[in-house]
This record gives sequence, structure tokens and C-alpha cells, in this order.
Amino acid sequence: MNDSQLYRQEILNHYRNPQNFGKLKHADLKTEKINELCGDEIVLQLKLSKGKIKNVKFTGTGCALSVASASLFTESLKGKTLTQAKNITASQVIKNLGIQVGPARRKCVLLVYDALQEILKKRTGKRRA
Amino acid sequence: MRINNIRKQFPILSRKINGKPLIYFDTAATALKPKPVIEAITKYYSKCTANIHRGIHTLAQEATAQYESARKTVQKFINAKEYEEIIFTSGATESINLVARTFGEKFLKRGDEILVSEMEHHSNFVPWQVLAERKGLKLKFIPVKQDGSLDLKTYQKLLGRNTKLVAVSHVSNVLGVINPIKRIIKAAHKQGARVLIDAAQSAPHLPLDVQELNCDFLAFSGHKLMGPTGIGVLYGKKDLLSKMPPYKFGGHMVAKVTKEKTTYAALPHKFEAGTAPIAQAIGLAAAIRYLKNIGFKNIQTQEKKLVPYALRKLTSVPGLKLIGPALPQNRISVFSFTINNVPPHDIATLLDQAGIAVRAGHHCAQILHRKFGLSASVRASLYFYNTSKEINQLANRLKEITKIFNH
Repeated sequence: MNDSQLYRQEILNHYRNPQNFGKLKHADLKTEKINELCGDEIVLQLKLSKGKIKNVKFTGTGCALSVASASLFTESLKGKTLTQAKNITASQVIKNLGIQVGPARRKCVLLVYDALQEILKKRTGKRRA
Repeated sequence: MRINNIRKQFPILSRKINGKPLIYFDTAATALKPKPVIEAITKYYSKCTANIHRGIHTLAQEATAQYESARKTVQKFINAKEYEEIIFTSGATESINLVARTFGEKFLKRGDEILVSEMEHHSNFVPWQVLAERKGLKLKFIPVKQDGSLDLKTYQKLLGRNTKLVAVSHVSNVLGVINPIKRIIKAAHKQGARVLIDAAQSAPHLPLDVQELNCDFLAFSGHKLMGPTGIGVLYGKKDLLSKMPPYKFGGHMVAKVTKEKTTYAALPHKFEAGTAPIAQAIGLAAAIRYLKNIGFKNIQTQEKKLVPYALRKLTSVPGLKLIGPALPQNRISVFSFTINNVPPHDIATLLDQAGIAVRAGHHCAQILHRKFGLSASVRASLYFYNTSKEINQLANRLKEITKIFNH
């Protein structure tokens, strides 16, 4: 994959002006995740309404791929139920970004996805308790 | 020294990466291997395979001779007084851990102080941090100044009668700066403190003379000076090593073993439990011979050409900020930098697409990066097998990358 696809204009736009960047006033679900290897960090917040994800926001610092991925992924979460969110796979996330990444950059792209998994796990844990 | 002829001796340089010729700027991570080293290792496996020190048969004797001759090669390489002062380990990290676990355990007590610098690689920091926690020692830091040099004034103030050990790198793997270790060692000894030198980044670039430096311990890794992975050296003064207890136990490091008690072998075997990294030691010796054939003089001449050129070319990239020394003096060919608005890992990926190999991240020096207000940087590390043409390509590609990101 050459420049023009991996860092195409769309990806760079998402990096420079990410969708859903910021904090929620009253988040229902929240988690923070750090990619120790490169210093990328993300705080992911969800607001639920009537069983669906009404709003999503993220903050943090990261490389272009991690931010672009978070921008696209958080947008795709809106309106989904938690169960629907749970069914999204890592490969789908990468496919939707439309790029091929090596194992090292995979972690960057999936940081937001891993943060969501943590939120879902915490929530299931609470439920069980 | 004809660079093109030298480059032909490195088989990997004929590889294409993403359709482009490989431009390898990651020698600080590991050096490329020349044919003589690869052949020496393969020769052990194809012609001289045997375990060492115990065998009576011909192959065992040949292998033993080669392994111990490798030890003598290392001894000469760093001008150690005795061959028993050369311990083979799995690398600089194990060498430093060995000192922490044996010298540290036995000779340091609650309230003693260890000085490290803010620029240390994690391998010359975490072992001391853990030792300090376990034994109630105080860990103090020699500060790094903005220009990348050590704050020697503060070092002098930090040295006190409680200082028992100073652990410092000869050359920084991030800043490329060469530290004045002879001075540092002298000052430490005046206070009665021992000194461990992390020579992982200096051994490939600068001639080492442990007697002249008068360091108490010195560690380096084979793979960083064109040897194989899995082998390193701990140099220690004989009187220190003989007083240090072993920390790895088993075959070969023993003298007499009974159900009740075991006694230990003499130096250096006391610290070399189990089957030695035989092929690797032979490879290391071949790498040292190769290095000496080229000669440090030639290596430094080449670097003296590359360093100012690289500095000039890198600083011509808009938005590029070098970390540490901006001048060519007192440094080796390691350059860490950031670029405005372009995250380091994205720079590295885009460089990789052009066949250029660099490192992105904290380079095992999180404390140093935090000191400079960074979480990550890009590091291009060169060696005598790199060329100014390659530096041109790096600079041009970096300029392209800034254009992509500032579109």
C-alpha cells in the first residue's frame, strides 16, 4: 500500500479534524486506554438513551492512524445498541478505515476499538454482580 | 576505505523494501551483519558443532578453543588486564542485571545511594530502581541539560560519601551524545563509589580501553557491533568479580557438587552457568575482527563526514526539531527528532514506504523523553556503512512527509 492510500486526504482530514473529539457532559460509560509502546492514549465516553448509543466522544493524543480510526469508529457507533457494538470485529474496523497496516500500526488503529471492548467488559461485569 | 566495497560485504543491503533499496538507519537498535560474521556462525554449526569445556573429542576441543579464543579477542578489544574479567552474557541488559543482582545484593545496604543519569536506557535504569526498592537504597539522577549533555556540576554535588555506585551510559542511544566518562569515573572513585559503564552504543563507534578508563564494570552487546543477537559482555575488575556471588546456577559454574553442598568454579566460569552461547561468542569475535580490520580510525573518519552532513540536511526539513546536541562535536551518528504536526509513528511508516528504516517511540528511554516533554520521537541511527546519498533521500522523504501532512 503506498502513501496515497495509507495517508490519503480522507485519513489526514480525520486526523486534523476528528469527528466526536471532546468530552461528554454526563457520560454513562467511560474508559481510558494507553498504548504503552508508542504513547498513544485515548479516553472514550458513551452516552446511552433507550438502550442505544446516543452520543460518543473521545479525547487523547495519538498518531494520525489512531486518531483517524477513532474519528471514523466513534461515528459508526452512534445509534447502535451495545449488543450491536459488541458484534463489531477488529477486522471490520481496519477494513472500514480502508488501509492495510502491519502488526505494529494495528495497535494504533485498534486503540479506540480496544477501549470500547474495555467499556463493554466493565459493563458486563457490573451486570453480573 | 571504499564504502561501496564495504557495503557489498553486507548481504542484506541488496534487499528491496517495498520495491525500494533498503536504507537502514536503525543500527542503534541492531547493526547489520557482514559476510565474515555470518560465515563464522554458520561454520560453527556446519563444521565444528560441539559443546565446550567438557569434551575430550576433537570437535569439542576445537569448539572450546574457539570459544575461549573469542574471550581473549574481547579482552584485547577492550584492553582488559585479565581474560577472567570477561564474562559472556546474553547481552548488555543481562550484564547489568548480573551486577545489580550480585554486586548490588552483596555490597549495597540500606541508605546507600546509586547515581544514574536521566538519559539512561531502561536496561541501565530499571535494574537499579528495582534493587533500590528492594534494599532501601536511594536512587539519584544526574540531570541532562537541554543541549543533551550531562550536568556535571550537579553530578559533583550529588556525589557524596553515601554514593556507592554510579551507573551511566558512555553514549546515549537517543541523543548520540558522548559522555565524559573518564572524568565521571575519576570523580566517583574519589568518593569511594564504583562505576558501571553502559557501553552498548559506544562499543561499535569508539575504541574502549577499560584500564585507561578505570571503570569497575562495563557492559556491551554483540549485536550492536555487527555480531549476532544473544551475546554480550560484562567486564568487571577481577577483585570485584571474585568477591561477587553467582546468581545463575547449574552446570559448568560448579566445582564440586554433593547432596549437601556445592562449591563454585573460578572466574569467569562462575558467572557462565549452562551451555554457553557458543556460536554467538564465535560470531562476536568475528565481528570484532571485522571491526578492527576496518579500523576505528576509518569508522570515525566516515562518521565525521556523515554527522555534520546529516545535521545540516535534517535541520533543513521544515518543522523538524532535533533532540539534544545540534553540533557535530562529541556525538555519534544517532539523530532523534520530532516534526511539527506529524506524529513520530506516522513518520516512520511513511519512511518505511520509501524503504527507509528508522525507529519511532521512546527508544527505551521514557525518562529522557519525558524530560524533553515528549512521549515519542523518530530516531535515525547511522553507521559507517551508510552514505550521504542515503541521508539525502531521508531528508527529501521527510520533506515530502511534511507536505503530505500539511496539505
